[in-house]
Amino acid sequence: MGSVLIVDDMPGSARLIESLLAPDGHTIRTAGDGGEALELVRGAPPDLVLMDVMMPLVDGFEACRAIKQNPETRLIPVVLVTSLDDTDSRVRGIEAGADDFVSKPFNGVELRARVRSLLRIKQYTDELDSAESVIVSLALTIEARDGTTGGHCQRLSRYGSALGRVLGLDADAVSALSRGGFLHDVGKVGIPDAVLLKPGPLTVTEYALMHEHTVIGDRLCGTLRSLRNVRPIVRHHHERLDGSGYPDGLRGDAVPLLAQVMSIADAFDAMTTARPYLPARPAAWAAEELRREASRGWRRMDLVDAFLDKVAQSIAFPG
Amino acid sequence: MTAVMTDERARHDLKNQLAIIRGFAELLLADATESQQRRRDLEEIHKAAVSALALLDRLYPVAGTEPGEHAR
Repeated sequence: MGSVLIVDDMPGSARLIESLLAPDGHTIRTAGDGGEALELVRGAPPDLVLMDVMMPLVDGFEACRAIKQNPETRLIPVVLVTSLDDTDSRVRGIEAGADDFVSKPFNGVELRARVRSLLRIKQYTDELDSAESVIVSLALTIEARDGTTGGHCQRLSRYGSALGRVLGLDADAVSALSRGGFLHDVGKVGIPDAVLLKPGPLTVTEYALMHEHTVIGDRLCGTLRSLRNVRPIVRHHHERLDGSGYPDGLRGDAVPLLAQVMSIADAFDAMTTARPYLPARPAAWAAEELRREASRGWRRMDLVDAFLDKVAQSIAFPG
Repeated sequence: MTAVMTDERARHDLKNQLAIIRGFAELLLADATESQQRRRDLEEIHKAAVSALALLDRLYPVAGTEPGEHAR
């Protein structure tokens, strides 16, 4: 059972589908064209959209494309209703991102089976989604443990995705940066408070322990397919291009680009925020330090410049 | 202004209307509580809708195909 949105410009057709699906007890809403459907999807996302292709104004292909391009709604399965003999529509439907097709005239048994199976898949993706939000909550809990870094995760998510956009990265990469901002330090859940919150300098052993947070975080995220783009950020955001970073001592281009981006944002935010072991520095000081680190061979100068000119500028010196 | 419908649009709409008649007839026929007399009446509605759909396919085959030709 789930919530199904039926979209058809002929009320009779919509009513017929509703009657065919009735025995399965779904919650059903109807819309008369693509535009109305998009409004309903935005207002309260359904678990499945069953949509005619030929409609006036916004047709089924256009509405399907809009649903699939919005990251908030793209996991909602869309089934397009076409004529059996219309291969052209099917090709256009696949290109618009449709998940399945049913033909008119309807075969009631087939329609019900397809709807049931797609709703089952939707339920699995919802569960994955909630697993991801558990990990994000965990990351925020860790941030809360360390009272001095409040808002660090939110800021990193914002800086990271902003720099990704400045660099012209694709939507998946920008989304990984946005989530990576929240998750980069999730592995600190495995670091004792005595080390994590220690006001003075760390001993060699304590440093080694602290470095483990990258590996622990990577392992925590490893179980979730949806986090596979985020894992390189979690594991490698403390690498340096000259190989002196951790945990793997990667060099140059071997350090994933998204991790390099996050590392710049992380360093900038850490320097400009008061920490248990160091006071907050002015933004200009942090900018100089990042440039020094790039000259030393730790970071790519072009990435540092892009961050300082296009991202940090608007945050540290607004207006 | 008189709206002029394309053949393709008219074919599509007519087919949909007939499919609605056929679909509801099938739904009612699946209901076991209908009397014999009512079932025969419903079967007439269903038969007429099926014939009309077949007729429509013969009159206006989808551009570029022949009736009964499903693949090339």
